[in-house]
Amino acid sequence: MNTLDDRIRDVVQTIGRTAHDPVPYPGRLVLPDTKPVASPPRRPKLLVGLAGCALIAAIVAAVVFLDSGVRSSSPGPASATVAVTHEVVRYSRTADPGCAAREPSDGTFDEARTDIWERVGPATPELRLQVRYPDGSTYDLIRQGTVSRPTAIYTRGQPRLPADNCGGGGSVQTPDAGLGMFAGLRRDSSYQHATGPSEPGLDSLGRPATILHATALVSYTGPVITNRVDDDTTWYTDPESGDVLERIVTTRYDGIGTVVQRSTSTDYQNAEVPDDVFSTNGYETVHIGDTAVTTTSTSTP
Amino acid sequence: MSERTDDAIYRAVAPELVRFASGIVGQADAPDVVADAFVGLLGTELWTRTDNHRALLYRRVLLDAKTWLRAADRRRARERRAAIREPASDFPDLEPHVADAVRRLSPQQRAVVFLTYWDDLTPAVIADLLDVSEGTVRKQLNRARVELRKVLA
Repeated sequence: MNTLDDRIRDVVQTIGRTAHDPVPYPGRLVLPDTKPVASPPRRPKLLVGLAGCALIAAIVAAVVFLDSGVRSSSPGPASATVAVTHEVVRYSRTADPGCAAREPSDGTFDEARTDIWERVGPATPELRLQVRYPDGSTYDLIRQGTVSRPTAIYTRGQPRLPADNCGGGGSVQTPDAGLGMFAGLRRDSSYQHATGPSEPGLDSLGRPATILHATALVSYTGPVITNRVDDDTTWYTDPESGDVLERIVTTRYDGIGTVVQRSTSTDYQNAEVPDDVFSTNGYETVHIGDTAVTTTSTSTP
Repeated sequence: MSERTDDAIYRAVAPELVRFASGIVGQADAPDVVADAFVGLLGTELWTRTDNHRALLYRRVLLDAKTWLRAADRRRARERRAAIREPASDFPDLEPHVADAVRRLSPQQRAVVFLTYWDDLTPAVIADLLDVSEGTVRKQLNRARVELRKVLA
């Protein structure tokens, strides 16, 4: 080691030590393979998936168990019960797309309800969520294994797209979408990367909450940002448990418009439900395998 | 691959990638370069088939950083011509003459210097990580040291 090396190391250490924190996970801006909208040639390349999201939003709770479609897809008698936590998440969105040409989507919804049942106890972690859209259609997802290490994922039904889309091409999904949602809102603390101080307050249901806030610059068009997209996320968390009670994501698409998505956990309690709630009969397998998450290697299903 | 898995990979690797990118484009733009690189890879066949996401991300960040620097150079030139303001420093914590020396390095030279002196990686490991030859790494490192010697020696 000579003097020059030492000095270069000092310079590099200065740069490395003062590096900023990463922005929150930006991946939810990437639309899954589900085809969003057709892209007429006259449209700009940019799609404001002003909406994209919605998937997850929300659905029907206990009613689900009375739903004949669910029961008919389950094998055998539903005599056994399992202990779960049951959460209800209400989802709503407003959008103000300023694009000249709007495209119809197959979703046409701005609100939904999601029920999430998560098995508790020593059994293999298991979660089911069901989104119910205003037209009565549903989208179900069952996750086996943990959130970060799912061993299998099954889906049934079609996730929907939101009502307003601009542009064409389809490469953007607004953040709070839900297509990739594998957990309930309360347990979803992984996206809390507050960039400012917390403060006390109330959520939209008047519940006491600790408010966290984060902003991020995101983009979706490739190696260089060509259309600026800003995210502004506010979490209302339970002051004692830290659970997320409500999340509001405001996404501003430069020159196009703004989308505001609100997800509110309206109910959360322990319950006993028929064990066929986790039956995967009639579901499509979308993932099987032990997805180890490491920094150097990840198995591909 | 699930979004949760992608999320976990991002959270695991993003901090070191941001440090790496800071050594190339400066601290202010580094988080955006990394996020952009990540988004650019998600869903691609390359991403789903690779068994080394970390290396893939390093290469993509370097690639995006080069593009970013070109755009930044053009922006600074415009600002200087218009005398709008003195462009913000990309390396605010370095002495100005040292920051200038770093700026004179190519993006690849900056990358090699950072990986050598921050991560203590050998030329062979850096070559593997960035998918270039070991000779290229050694050459870039030597040229960078010559440039930095002018202000640090």
